[in-house]
Amino acid sequence: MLQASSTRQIAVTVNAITKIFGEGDNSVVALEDVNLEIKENEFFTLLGPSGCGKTTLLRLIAGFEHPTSGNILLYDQDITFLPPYQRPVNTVFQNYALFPHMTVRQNVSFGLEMLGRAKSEIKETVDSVLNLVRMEELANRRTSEISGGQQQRVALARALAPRPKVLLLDESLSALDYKLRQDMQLELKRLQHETGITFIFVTHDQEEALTMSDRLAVMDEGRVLQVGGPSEIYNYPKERFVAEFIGDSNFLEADVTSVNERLVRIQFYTGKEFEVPAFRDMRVGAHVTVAVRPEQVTLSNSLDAATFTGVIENMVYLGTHTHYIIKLSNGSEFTAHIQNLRGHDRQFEIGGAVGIALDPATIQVLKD
Amino acid sequence: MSEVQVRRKQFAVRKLPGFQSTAVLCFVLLYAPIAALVIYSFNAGTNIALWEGFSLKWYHVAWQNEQVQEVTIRSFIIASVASFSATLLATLAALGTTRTENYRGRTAIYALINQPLMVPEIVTGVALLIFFAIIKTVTGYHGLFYLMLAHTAFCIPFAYLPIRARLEGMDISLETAAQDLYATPWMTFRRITLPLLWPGVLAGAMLAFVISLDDVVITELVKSAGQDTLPTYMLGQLRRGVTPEVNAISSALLGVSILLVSLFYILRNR
Amino acid sequence: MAETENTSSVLAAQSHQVAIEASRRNKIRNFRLLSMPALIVLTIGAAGPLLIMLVYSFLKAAPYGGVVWEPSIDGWFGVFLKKDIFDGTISIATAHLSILWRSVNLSIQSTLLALILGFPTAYFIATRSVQTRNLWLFLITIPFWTNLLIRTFAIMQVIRDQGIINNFLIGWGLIESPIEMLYTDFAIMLGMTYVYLPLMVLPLYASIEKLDFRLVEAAYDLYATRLRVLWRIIIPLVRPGIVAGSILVFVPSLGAYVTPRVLGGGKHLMLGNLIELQFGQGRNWPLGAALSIFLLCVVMGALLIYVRVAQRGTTEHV
Repeated sequence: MLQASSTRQIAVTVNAITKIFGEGDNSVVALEDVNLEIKENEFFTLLGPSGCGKTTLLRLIAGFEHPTSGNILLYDQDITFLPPYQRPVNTVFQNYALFPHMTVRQNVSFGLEMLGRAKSEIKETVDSVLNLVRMEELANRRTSEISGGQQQRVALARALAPRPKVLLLDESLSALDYKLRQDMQLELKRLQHETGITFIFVTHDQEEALTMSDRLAVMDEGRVLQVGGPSEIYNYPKERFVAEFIGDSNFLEADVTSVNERLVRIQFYTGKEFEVPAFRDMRVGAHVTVAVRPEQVTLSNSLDAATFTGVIENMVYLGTHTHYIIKLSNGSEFTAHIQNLRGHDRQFEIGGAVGIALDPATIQVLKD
Repeated sequence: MSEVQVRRKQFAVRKLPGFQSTAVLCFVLLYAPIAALVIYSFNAGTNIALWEGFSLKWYHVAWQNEQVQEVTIRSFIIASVASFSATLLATLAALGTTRTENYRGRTAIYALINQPLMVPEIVTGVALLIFFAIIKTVTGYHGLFYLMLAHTAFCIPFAYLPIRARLEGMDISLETAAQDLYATPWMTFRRITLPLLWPGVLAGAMLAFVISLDDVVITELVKSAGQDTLPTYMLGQLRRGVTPEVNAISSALLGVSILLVSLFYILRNR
Repeated sequence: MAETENTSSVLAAQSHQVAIEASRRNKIRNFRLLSMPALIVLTIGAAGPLLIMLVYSFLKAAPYGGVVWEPSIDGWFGVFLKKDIFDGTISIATAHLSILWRSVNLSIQSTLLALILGFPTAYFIATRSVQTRNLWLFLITIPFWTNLLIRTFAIMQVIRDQGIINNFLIGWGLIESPIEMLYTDFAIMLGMTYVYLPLMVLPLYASIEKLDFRLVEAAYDLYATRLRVLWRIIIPLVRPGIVAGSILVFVPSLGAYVTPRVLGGGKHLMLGNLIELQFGQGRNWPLGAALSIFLLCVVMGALLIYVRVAQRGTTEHV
């Protein structure tokens, strides 16, 4: 699997891109030294909070903006300064940007017309693309006469019709309601599979990113923090921001007590020590932060064996899980999500003492 | 039964005492004089104060009046030329002021475009009178061009405002989307911007036409001898008092204005 | 080796920057050029001549109209003062002052009358349902876009000695001889109110329409009566609209020409007529130019207040 994907060609290379808007005192750094390699036929997601630069990066790839420095390659061609109408790259816009004075069919034909394709070819391609997004019956409707979900499909069809090498999707699902969004997520995966086109998807929704992507890049404040597959990002966040933005995390302080070739030994304030994989240079005595997922801990009433002890401050019953907010003996807060099993209800009570046990495999040491 | 139907007076938050009746009075005052003018234009008698039966006589008289024909044609020629050129210029200016990032001097451009709206007509008229007097002495040309130029100038802001409003209301991502779909800037303009802008352009042209057709003050000051337009002709006729014929002309002109303005609103809301 | 590579990449980055900057500048220049034709026409056909007029106001009047190219401040001198042709004594030009006073006075009166009529009307429109609001607004704007001269004619026929009002009153035996209304200051004031009323209603409507009626509810909840709600809540909140409407009526009233000419019958001049007179029978172009610039300055001052208030209004309510 890993082998197969690594032999794939690189479709888009983002090379040392920096983008600064404005001049002098008013300038804003939107992107800072961003490097990415997006493989052919990959569903790649740019994930981050609003203002992290993900949309700017998308606009640079589409050609609506040009970088302050660095370059962008599409396969082997440098497209950094190519105008958008000369790039074989199409965009599905956040608000769809369907032409209101044209029908569905005219919208979908537009790109092919601009490329100067023959009429018969346009008709054939448009029919097949409309069929692909299941919109053939509404082809002659005005875009104002169809629903939001249908507009979404038309926008998709319009961008797919010219068979771009890369399809860019800018927060394309965010305007849809929850149910429709889930349908469209599956639909997008299907389309990507059937067309074999490289998809670059921008979203701020971590769940959406984890569900849909082959790989994703987590961005914040104009930088790419981590690139990897969904489970890699979830299980091995390298930075605090990543651990915080994707899922929930407890952050704990620890000291390094010994360093091996591959393993380091860390000690928590309670004196408990763990051996964890070392992924970077660490000295004895260094201070580190580790992340622990709330659902990857166990609670027990036996306090002696526990890594930490604390008092339950609050608990929220959520059906499948119960969330416990625990005040640790050093005063900090710890969250645990414990699965509810029938017959094991109400083991713990608010105000009761509780022990928290960690599994060494779930401890993730973060960069400072 | 009647006990159940006891009406309790409801408290209306938005109501204020006397406001509704004042508003109704206001609308009546606004329309009554115009209505009277139109009604009396159909009066058969010569005295415009006494109703002597319905007749189209005065419309006929006005229609037959060669002088009226001449000034009407002149009015329409000037209004056509002025509204066409003002709309063209205003469209270009609106594209130039909305379709790019803010640049220095844009406020100055706005100010210059809206200048005819701010300066009293009498002042502009007098200034043009002086300026054109100089040019007339130098060139010896006394034609209609002066009126056309002046009308074009003061029609520009009226054409510009609806066009700019339309451009600003237009989603810029539509143009971005067109470029993404391989449309060159020119094709983007022709296939996307212009078709979407078109109602605004037409609306601007209508308004400019009405404004030019209705102008009195600047025309009165700028015109050379024998260049009366319909409004200045009517103003000149006033020395003989308001005749039923002037009433008929007024009503006809009123009809044209209302028609064009209604079209303007329909186009603007499209 | 590494160093040369470094400098070359820096150079590349710089030239890259320059290219972006140049294309941006280019784009702005092209867009600026689009506005040029309109600006040229406006400069020739509206703004530029104002400067020539300014020059003319400092020249000497020629006996049969036009000017003699000799510097002189006679034009400006004549705005407020006059020199006796026989003994050369200087006195205040009372005729000009009374015209000026009439202009200001009648403009203020029509502005107030328009406000009294326009405020309830705008409030009425703003409290209609959204669907009917546009129709009412349309009814307000229609007269505004129709010919000012025609509307002045219409008012003239209503207030003439044999007009609708007098005929009506005599017919009912309320009066014996017609009340003289036409060709009075009152006629001018009434006419200006009539023709400029839409200019009062529209900005007032814009303000009232944005009014948050939960504030009105809150005031009633706190025991305010209707009049107090109007005075303490509604009027302060729509003040920018009141100022805008008042200035939009005051400014064209001050420069009015057609309405005083038709309804004042040539006896009751306003500033606009006085200016026109200097280019007609008066044959004193420099005085006319000076009066025009004087009027322009007053109008600009009023508009400046308008802009100030409008800006404060928007920042206050955002």
